[in-house]
Amino acid sequence: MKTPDLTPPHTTVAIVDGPVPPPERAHRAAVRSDSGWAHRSAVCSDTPNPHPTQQAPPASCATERCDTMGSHTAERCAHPGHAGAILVFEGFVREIEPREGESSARIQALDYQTYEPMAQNQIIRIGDALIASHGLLGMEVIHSRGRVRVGECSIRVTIRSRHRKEALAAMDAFLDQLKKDVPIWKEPVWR
Amino acid sequence: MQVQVLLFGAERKAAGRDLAVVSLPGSRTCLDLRERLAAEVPALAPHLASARFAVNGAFVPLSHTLEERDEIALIGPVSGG
Repeated sequence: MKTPDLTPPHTTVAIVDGPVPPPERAHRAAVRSDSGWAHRSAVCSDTPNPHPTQQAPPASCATERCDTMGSHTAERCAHPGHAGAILVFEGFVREIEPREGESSARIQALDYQTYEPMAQNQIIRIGDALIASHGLLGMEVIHSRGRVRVGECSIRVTIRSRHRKEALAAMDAFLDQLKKDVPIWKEPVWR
Repeated sequence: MQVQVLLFGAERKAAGRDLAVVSLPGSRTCLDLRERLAAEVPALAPHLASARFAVNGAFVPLSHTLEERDEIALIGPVSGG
């Protein structure tokens, strides 16, 4: 029997073209594009059943289950029984934005510009510092680049922790620091 | 020494370009670079007080000394999320 993957808690980040896809599709993309995600997904079949009252599926089915049920389930598989809280924040493009010379105006979309890889590195630096200071079990960040239309998702942050309070505090701190120290800009596309 | 400065966001829009090429004939700290940018790209002048420099992917203070082949970016107020 292989030893379960107990990689120290860390931050993973992906910057994607256009809107942030729903969790299931985002996880599939991450498995394809990021070795860390692929590695952790691959070990799911070797970890104990996270629901011991239910019959554990065969190993091959467990791997498939993680690949098709989204990142939250996959993360539970990687550290079974540790996370009592999984907090997800999703940010969406609003229709009304402040405009110079007017109180507000309607937009069609936001165009996100990123300076990479500094943006990813800054997110990892901030996330890893919060993991250490708040005792978190992990953080995943997906952010858009390019055009994101009104009503579409531009950012998803997922934090895993033992209890809710540290995740809630860390989420607030992360978003504050993102808006201060991560080189990403948005430009409104006015109607 | 001649340096290239990557521009983004409001600074890119103000300058009308994504790269500024600046000569640093004498001292070559980021503070010197900021003064040269204001002189050579006047449209950037109003933005420089609220902008920071990143060198090789990390924020640096104005006292940082620049080297040949550094990747330099002017980072104005960011707005991710």
